[in-house]
Amino acid sequence: MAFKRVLIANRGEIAVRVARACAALGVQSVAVVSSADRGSLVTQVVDEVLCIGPAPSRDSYLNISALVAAASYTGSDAVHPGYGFLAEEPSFVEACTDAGLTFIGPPASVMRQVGNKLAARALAQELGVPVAPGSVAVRTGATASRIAAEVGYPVLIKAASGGGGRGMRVVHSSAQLGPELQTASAEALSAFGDGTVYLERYIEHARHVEVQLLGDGHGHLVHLWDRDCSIQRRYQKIVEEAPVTALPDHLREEILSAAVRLGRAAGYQNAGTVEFIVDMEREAYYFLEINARVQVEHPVTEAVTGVDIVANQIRVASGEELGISQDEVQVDGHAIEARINAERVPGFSPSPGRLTRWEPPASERLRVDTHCFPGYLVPPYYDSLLAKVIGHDTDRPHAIAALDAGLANLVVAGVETTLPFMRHILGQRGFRENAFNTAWLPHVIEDFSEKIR
Amino acid sequence: MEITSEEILAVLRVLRESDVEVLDIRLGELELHASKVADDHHLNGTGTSATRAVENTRVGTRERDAATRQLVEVPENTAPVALPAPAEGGAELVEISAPILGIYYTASGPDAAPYVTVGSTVQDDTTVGLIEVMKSFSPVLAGVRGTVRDILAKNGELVEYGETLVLIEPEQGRQ
Repeated sequence: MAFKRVLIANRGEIAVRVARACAALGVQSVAVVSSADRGSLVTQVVDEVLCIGPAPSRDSYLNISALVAAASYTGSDAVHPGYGFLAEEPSFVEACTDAGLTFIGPPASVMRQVGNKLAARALAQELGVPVAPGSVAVRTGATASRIAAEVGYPVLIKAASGGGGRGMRVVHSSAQLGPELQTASAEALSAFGDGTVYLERYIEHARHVEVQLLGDGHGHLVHLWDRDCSIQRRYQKIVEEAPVTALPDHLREEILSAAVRLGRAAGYQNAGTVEFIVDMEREAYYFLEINARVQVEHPVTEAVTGVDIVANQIRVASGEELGISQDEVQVDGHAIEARINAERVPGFSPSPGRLTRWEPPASERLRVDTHCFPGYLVPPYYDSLLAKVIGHDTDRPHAIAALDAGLANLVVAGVETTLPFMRHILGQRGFRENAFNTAWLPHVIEDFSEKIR
Repeated sequence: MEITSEEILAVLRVLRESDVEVLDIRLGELELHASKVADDHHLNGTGTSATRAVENTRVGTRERDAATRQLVEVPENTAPVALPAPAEGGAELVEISAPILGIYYTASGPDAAPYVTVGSTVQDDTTVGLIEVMKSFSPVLAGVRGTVRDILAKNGELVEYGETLVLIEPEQGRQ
């Protein structure tokens, strides 16, 4: 291992996750925290802690010069960005490189290419990977109307530089198209600094399927199979599982192969995910986007493949060869992840505060990734993820049982969480029978709010 | 009523720099009581500045929302606020803390005289040191009139955001 010290440019559970991977590799780790995170769990599991700024993210976790300075001054060799914050910001990659630091992720040029959805879509088309019927960038209402009429309503407006569901809108009729186009473009401009939007056919009965890629700097690239993340609320994933079990094998094979072709063509290195939408009625899949980072839901893949994605990110970034052949990556059983957020259901409004009780479950069939502890103050400045509980067993029904038992044994008090709602989802017949799509969850939320009223 | 611990710290900073001794704020359901003098929350001059901030600040709320109440009661997760620290002879010292993370310099160059030494008199706009972030230097200003009583940060060493650099005894009778 060429690295001696890695700086973790993130917070919360992923910072703890990266620190543990460093420890497993015998690499020292440095945590940077905002003033609101001085007492956070990561400070207990790293070799050095630095406070880099006040609570607001823009002054701390998004402050490139403070992060690069902290890495340089602590003698770190590399920076792990986690997910979110600056994980997919090419200028951060360049700032690290300019300061002589290794960024643990793909090169800036690759990140730029795959980060723009229209560029990534063009790459997919070149390779013959299907993309959802739609358009290149639309600039006028007239062009949009013509394209929408061609692909048929409902259509989806998407932001070229977007992510996390922002700037996305479903339009059901031509009368709505003009005003929605303007709103989406304005939203995209303010959120991503780029108002470019495009249209895609909206697939009503869809599953969200994604493929985990892992590549090194020596031309090796493998997939770690697939995940199903169709349980979503406003395009935010709530429950994720691996492998995909709702699709026929031939379709899965095509998707896996398309993902690897895309990764190779883009010169992809490190961990990344290729996302697809699958039209269940047409049995057709379409490329969505490439995420150039480790994903929140990576533990389900780690559970079924036994490959430590975060440790491998660090290893390959240090220049080592991947050393894993495609044939060696086998799927063992099934894993399901439930995200426990500090939120009040049904509105999903944040519920920060002090955890008066926090007792995570433990069993051989469970993994809990968390930064929580009894007495921890959940700060109001950041995202509300408290923990990811992952159930792993021989098959999907047993994995559901393992996860459900785990959630039943998770004790949390002091803040409101999505725990009761997660258990409600697991109890749904539609979930147990694997008979859901990306539009399923809103009905379950309605149902749940009736129940708790 | 939602109030963040940062906002409370901002109020405390304003209080510290003003001539006001006791401050009561009522915003809807929320009450904030802060005092520079020893009232029913006696100041004994021990402990860290953060714990003093807690002792000297009483935040009450009639709201039954536990989350909101817990939020405002917890300043210890935040940067130590530069509340006056007691000095010998009863005067209170003002902590000048690092506004950014970086390398601290007590002088403008290796051969230059230090900006201030113990005993130096400073004005609000006196430079007490420099912080370098990747070759970009920013001055640290005293922000208060008085006398330097201690310099805690060492020349050429890394300082964190919020770390105490210099202690200043403010000038008395400043009206």
